[in-house]
Amino acid sequence: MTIELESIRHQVADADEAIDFCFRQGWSDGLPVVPPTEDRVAGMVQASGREPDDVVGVIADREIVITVEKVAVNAVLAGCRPDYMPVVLAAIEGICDKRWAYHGPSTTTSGPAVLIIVNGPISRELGINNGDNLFGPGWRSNLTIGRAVRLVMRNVCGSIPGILDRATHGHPGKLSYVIAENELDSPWAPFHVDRGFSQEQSTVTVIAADGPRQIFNQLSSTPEGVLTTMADDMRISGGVIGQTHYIVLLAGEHMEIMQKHEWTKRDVRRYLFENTMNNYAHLRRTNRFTGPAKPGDETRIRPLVSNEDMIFVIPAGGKAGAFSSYIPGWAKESWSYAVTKEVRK
Amino acid sequence: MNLEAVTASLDAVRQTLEASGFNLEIEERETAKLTVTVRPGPDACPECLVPKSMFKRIILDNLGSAELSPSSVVVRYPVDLA
Amino acid sequence: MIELLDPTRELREGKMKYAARPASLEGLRVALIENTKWNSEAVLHKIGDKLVADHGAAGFKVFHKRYSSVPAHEEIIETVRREFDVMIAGVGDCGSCSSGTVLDGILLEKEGIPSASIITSVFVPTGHAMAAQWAVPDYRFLIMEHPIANLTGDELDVKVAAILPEVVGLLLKDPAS
Repeated sequence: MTIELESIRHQVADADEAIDFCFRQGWSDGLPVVPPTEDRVAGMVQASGREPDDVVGVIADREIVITVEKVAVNAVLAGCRPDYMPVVLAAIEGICDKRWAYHGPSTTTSGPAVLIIVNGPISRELGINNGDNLFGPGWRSNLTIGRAVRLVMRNVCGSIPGILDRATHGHPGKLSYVIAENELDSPWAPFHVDRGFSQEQSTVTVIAADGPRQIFNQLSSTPEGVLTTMADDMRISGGVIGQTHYIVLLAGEHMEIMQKHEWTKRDVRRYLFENTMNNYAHLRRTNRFTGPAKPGDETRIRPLVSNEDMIFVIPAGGKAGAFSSYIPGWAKESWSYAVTKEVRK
Repeated sequence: MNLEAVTASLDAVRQTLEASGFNLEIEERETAKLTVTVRPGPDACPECLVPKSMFKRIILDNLGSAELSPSSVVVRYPVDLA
Repeated sequence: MIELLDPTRELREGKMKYAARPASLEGLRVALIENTKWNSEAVLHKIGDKLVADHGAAGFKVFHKRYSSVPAHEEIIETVRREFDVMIAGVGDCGSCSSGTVLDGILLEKEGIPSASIITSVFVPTGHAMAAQWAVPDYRFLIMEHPIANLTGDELDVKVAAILPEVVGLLLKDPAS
């Protein structure tokens, strides 16, 4: 099948010049990119199983249309393998979903990244890391899939730092922020089943999110013990004002404790919900809410999240080490919902 | 398709090609599909041609009122004639 | 030469933003980017001489592109950006080199260097196509009567004298103003 690609072509002398050219054009996220030649882009489009001019998503209000071809060019830039395309496309569909509400998370000074959680068979087929160095370097799939999404945001949607991306600090997840769930070792139904999909389906969930916060507990041998440490850290953290999603990642040693004591995800969520309450007096004294503490504020309680289902519990991370992490979502749930899309091959 | 009007629209493009030793052939090989062939003459300068993708854009931009869509214009370059 | 596909939205409707123009060429350093085509260097050299003799430019340097059909390579662009005040590129007298020369002007303007790109008359459609490709369809380039490759030195002097006022005009006045 001959694939007709419509993108403008730019001529450069050779592959070395091509890398500098891509930098100079502002197409890069700061790292060298793979020059997007016709063969490479055609290979990406072919692997998607879709036509190059198929619309993947539309950013409402900005009249930005994202086609398969443009995703393919940016996937090449990112260094993706062609078989990553269905995952990249699902993530783009997710951020274009009205519920994700692109404008807010992509422009705000609070600088969230796009956390991408991959579930189902595709995560294993593509070797998307769910273990050691969960957020770290070394996995082409994790790093290039996330990078492709960010490059689409930059190059197609115009989310460029200082222009339409006004993050004060941002965080390293804005280069790439992709993880998979450790479904095979988990006693629980996987995250995408919670989200309404079947185990056999593959999905991508996109969440506007802050950076991960790691907690350490080597002393406890009970779920309550481990989660008390986590709750203490979570209680005053990113989402304390707005009530947003929280993503809790339980790594190997802590998951063993949960499993040994037969705790369900619901048990974990409930414990964390109940133990991450603040009172208004504290929130005012620490200048998170305005004004001095008023009578009754000491006993007026504000939960961290609006309800316990806002806490997503996911087994992921290495087997060794008494560490787990949580990730605060962005701002307020209603400003950008977590969105899950099926990966279609 | 009014090939006379199309040929007139592409006169400047023809002159551009002839300056580098190429001839421009314009045909309607299939209904509503314009085939534009760039054929080398004896003094053709092969490095002087713009890339095929750019040439197609030049054709589309110069067609003006004919307003054909990209998929209804077929460009044949010397490499396609071998 | 390799082709790269554009990863951006490809907005086609932009307007060219030119670099800030100097009040005069007095004391300015002139970069001349020649595209290796026959007589290109001769034309640019003659223009450089005139800018020094008649307009007070401090001096000029000729840069040689590696390939005429692509933009000047990174080292040239960097050096011109750092060490020169204005740039003249030329002479695009074929399809591919005219697009390359027009692109030299567009790229250097983006780097803040007032520039003038010269192509020959028959290749105006190609010059416009390159400008459109870069979403600056209004980009102004200069046109010299075709051909120039087979001209003598005296004949080139006549061409240079005719185009010089336009070169100076483009370097000193923002076409968009």
